[in-house]
Amino acid sequence: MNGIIFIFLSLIISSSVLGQVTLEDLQKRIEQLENQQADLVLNSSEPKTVVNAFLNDNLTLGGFLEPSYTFISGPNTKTQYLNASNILGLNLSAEFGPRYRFVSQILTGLVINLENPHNNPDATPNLPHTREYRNYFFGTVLTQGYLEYSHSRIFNFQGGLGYAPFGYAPQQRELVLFIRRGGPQLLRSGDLLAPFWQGFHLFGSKNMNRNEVGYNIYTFASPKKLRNSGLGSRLWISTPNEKLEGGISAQIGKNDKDTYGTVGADIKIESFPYILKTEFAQYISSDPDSWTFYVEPSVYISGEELLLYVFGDYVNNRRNEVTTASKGDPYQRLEYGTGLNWLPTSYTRLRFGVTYNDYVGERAISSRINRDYLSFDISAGVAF
Amino acid sequence: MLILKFIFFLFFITSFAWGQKIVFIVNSSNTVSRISHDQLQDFYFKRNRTWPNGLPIRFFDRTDGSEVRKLFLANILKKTSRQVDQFWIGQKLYTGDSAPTKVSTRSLVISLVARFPGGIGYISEGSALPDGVKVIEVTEL
Repeated sequence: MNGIIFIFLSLIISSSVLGQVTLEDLQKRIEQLENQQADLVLNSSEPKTVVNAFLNDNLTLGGFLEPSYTFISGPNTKTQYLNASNILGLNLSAEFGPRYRFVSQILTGLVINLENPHNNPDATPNLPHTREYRNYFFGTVLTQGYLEYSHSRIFNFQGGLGYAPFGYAPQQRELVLFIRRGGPQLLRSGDLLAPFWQGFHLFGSKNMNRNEVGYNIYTFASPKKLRNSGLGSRLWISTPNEKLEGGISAQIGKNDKDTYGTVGADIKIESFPYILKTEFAQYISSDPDSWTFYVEPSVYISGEELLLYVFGDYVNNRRNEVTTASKGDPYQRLEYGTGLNWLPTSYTRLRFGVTYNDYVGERAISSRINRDYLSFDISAGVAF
Repeated sequence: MLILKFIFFLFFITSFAWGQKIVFIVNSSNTVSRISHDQLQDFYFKRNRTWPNGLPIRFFDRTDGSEVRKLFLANILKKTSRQVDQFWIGQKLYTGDSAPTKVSTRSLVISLVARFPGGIGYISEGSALPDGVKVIEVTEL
């Protein structure tokens, strides 16, 4: 009996001693692994996706994919339904130290073009009599490519090409995550404003009484006179936690005849679960002005997974032309509708949207062709 | 008796969770000893990329869903995880900037901050810290 107890006690003591030794070894091993992990983190740049370039600098890779399925129909618009657009955006960027950065973005896609989009019967013979999805268009375009020098918070300099900081939507921060596919008409109305800065871009911001106040100054290629650079600017303010953001913007450049200016204002109000965005832009020249304005309230339902929106978006575009015929085709269009976004993750957005394109004014009907049409969109945006 | 012990254990655990606070740590060589909420936001969102002494800031975030990150989001950034994710998506597309590195454990945050002179991270308030890092005071303004 005593022997059994002795053996039993020996087993208990030896196992606890062995356990202690094993525990110490494990702790050392954990420390070693954590040090290795720390080395890996310090030697890599911050994002998870890292590509090693031949320069032995690390490039970071990101981007988005946006496929969409569209249905359109109208009094003088054939009913059409198709996968109209597949766009892939790739962002490559690299940090060469704390002050120098390289950023680039390429868009590539396979799109079926909506030809004669405003149902202008005078567009023939080069275009169909009424709007029609007809031909494939595919291509690749560089939308951002610049080197940035960051001197301080209030002074930063970029050289190259990027999205013009005119208002909120043109910055394309939500290219894949616009709650309406394609975004507002501000982005789709020809040359009302130059969409890119080209050449130089100065920007900065300062904290003033807990509000952030900032500026942008940039050069751009005037859409109608590419050989002459224009000058653009924006002043903006953002309250703490970005509850309210607003700005005023301007671009001045040359067109065919004279000097023109585009001015604009934007406001974004965010108080969960509500968001309100509104922007205005007006093209001013010796010709009659063109202008556009939209309001887009939205509300999160079911936490942050479902986003319901409505919108009203008006454009008076006196500068529109039937490009194949170089004929003027001014129009006034009111887009209004509603839609739902489902965000199963922060990086994916599935949209369903309904839009009525209501052409108004004296050119709502052209040569007995009604320009109005209804569209449905099912689309997805995936960021990576 | 067993039930009383169990109740006491539950009370201890939950009170610990409710009372949990986060503290911000920097490298010991960093001369900064105090920081405001606004400055922390600026560091995290990369509006400010260098310390006053010129050292580049390296902010270490914590992994999604961790209790310390929830406290950081609620008390310092005052945003939800989804809002922060969407901000970084926009930044990635417009400026190429990426979100700060996310780190999974307390000990790894300490290890990284100790090794990176401009490092800053946050951990749960707890036991004494090793050499190489120090806690800095966080003020509202």
